[in-house]
Amino acid sequence: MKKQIAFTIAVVVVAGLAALAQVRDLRPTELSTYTNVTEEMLRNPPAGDWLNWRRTDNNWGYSTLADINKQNVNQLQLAWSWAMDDTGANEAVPLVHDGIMYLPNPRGVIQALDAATGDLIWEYRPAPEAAPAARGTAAAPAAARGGAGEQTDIPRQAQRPTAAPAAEGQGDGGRGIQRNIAIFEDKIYGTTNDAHIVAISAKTGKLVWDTKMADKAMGFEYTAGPIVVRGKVIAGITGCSRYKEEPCFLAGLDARTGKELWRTASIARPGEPGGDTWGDLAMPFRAGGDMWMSGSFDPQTGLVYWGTAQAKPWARAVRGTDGAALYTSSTLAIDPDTGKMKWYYQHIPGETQDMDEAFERMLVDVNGRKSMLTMGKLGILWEIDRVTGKFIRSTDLGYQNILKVDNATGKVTYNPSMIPQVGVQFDMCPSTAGFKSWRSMAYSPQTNAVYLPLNLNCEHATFGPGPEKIIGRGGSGPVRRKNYMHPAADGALGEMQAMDVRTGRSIWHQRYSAPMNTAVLATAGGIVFSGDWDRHMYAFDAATGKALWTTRLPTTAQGFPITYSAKGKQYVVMPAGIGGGSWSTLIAPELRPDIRRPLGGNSILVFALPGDAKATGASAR
Amino acid sequence: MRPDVRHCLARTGFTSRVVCLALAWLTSAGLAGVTQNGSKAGGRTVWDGVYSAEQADRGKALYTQSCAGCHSADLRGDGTAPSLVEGDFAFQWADTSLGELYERIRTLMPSTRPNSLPPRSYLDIVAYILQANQFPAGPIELAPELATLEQIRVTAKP
Repeated sequence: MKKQIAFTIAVVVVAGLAALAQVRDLRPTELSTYTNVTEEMLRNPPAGDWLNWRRTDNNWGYSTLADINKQNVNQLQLAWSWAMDDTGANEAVPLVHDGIMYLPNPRGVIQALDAATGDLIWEYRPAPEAAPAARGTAAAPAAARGGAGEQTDIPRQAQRPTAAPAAEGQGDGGRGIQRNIAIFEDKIYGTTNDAHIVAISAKTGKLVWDTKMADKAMGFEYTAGPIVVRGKVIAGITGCSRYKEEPCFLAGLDARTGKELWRTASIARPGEPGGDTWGDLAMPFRAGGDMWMSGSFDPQTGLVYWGTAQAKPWARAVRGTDGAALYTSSTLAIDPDTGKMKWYYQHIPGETQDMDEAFERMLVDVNGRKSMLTMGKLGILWEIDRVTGKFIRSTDLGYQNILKVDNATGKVTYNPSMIPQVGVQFDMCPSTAGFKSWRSMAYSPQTNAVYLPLNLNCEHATFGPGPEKIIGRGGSGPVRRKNYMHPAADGALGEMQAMDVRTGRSIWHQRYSAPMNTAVLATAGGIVFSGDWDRHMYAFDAATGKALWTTRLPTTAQGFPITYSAKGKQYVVMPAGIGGGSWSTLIAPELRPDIRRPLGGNSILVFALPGDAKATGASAR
Repeated sequence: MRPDVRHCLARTGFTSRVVCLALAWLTSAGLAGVTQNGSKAGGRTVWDGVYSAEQADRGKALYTQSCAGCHSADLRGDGTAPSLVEGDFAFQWADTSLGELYERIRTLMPSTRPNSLPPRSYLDIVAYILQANQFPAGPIELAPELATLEQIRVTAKP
């Protein structure tokens, strides 16, 4: 009987395969041809590819493609769209190489899609962990991986798993953020919410190596992906708000083998240089310094640049030291071969309100100076010498009321009433959501301007007493908060602003009801693309700020817009999605409850000019 | 204005707005009553056994499924997810009502899918948070009427 059943099944399977073989236009499940991505290509990407998370090492978020430009952008129309994993927050940065899009979904899912049609080629879905990683329980077991993740079976891949990871009750999923991935040679590199770094085959989607970097049960996780420099996969880890012996760190791995080559902590231990900036706090109580955004690289200085988050708990009075707390709230300049810290620049010593300076480090030559630009939650654009790490100048958007930066020295002076005392309410602008967050600014060499996606909000804040100094406790510390719109914002939460980096002057700004909610994409077509929480996607004239084209999306625009070309045609990608941090999940729903979004909707929308539209204006290709 | 009433007012529909305005008036009148009489005027607190143990058990399962990913299995939070127990909870929620706690959770959580659970499930989660903070269980469950929840105050141990 059993044999008969087996035989019948075999016949059906063979017949099914035979039927499939006769089908027209059979879709591939892996790439038949593939050109390796070389170090040279990463450093000078082909115009039609998008190979690094901000396209180029310098984090400009700028494309030289110009088929879509000021003259024709108003003809943009939807070319294709794709629904993504809907169990976590979507802040995706797609990559594109040779007409294939590699798309990071929430919860470690990575897909390869035909970038001209949106057809799925392969999907990588991490295997669930074997044992529940009961973070925060007394005897938290080390999170063991249940097995190698693998390419999902075709054609079953399009189906959702019967139980989404978030619904399995493991309590370790977090928000499932997987911002960016990296590509080098024949592999795609990802970081996972359970603190692994993985390499998968760009051709097949199969797992090549999987390196566990830290213990998820201790709170460690990755939300930001790696960059690849000189054959090393480099990624910064987050999840350092609880008290523990091991601090957050940046690590470099051999891209071919996954072997860890170096690891550099973002916290100065007692007895080390800078170790005295935490007062007499023992190591487990030096929390924070998370690295939750990816980095940049300058081949000339030979350094990678990374931002670190604030010290934790957030308030000095709660964490138990007024010290500078190195290397939190800093820019780290690191040798990618050895992990050695060449220099650091601490933007806000002893930061005391959760005002991250942890975002993208943009490398721009400003008036002939080799500069690094970054903007944190306070809306202050810092210009730092990227060779020496010395302060050059800062430009304050003028919305924050917390501190002053001396423009000659970079020295920070807090407004005394803004240093939180336990139980005393004060009004701070911005709220802990920030005016600026993970949504990266873009730079256009055509205008010498940075384009800033902003959220104009403030907070009545009362910081509460801190946690006991016990390993496993910790956290940010309690805050009673009531958010409100910034008084200068005229009832608008969202602002797109263009600032000339040579003069520090604002060129233009546009205000919108809801926060700007995506990174910015700038192109040689003279356009900047961005989107807001109110489901708008915009194409602005980079020079004047005029909105040349607008459309509405299925849910909030959220993630990193990019552009690429496939089969000779330029496309623009806008991610949309749910989650997205307090800016997206608290500020907008609290202050504009009348603007509503659907429960789900993680997706990418891909736009192009109509088939017969002739490119007008110059193409830089 | 109290956030729950504000949320209520932000709803669509003329009838609901009228109901909300009435609610706003009732709650302000109720609070005025407290002040004038200097007593709780029949109001209960979280120390009065306002949820059942069975409800908290259901809430624990729901918490594990929908909340623990960010707030952790021990409810002590992580990163931007605040702690929901002990001193942090007391600081955050002292002198508010269960109505405010319930409405905040219902309208904003889980952050990746707010207001996606049935109202009863949110109530069960509130019950579990109360249990985790060692407020005593009682014979009856928390009921889903917002006006009733608003009468239950979060206070320090009497």
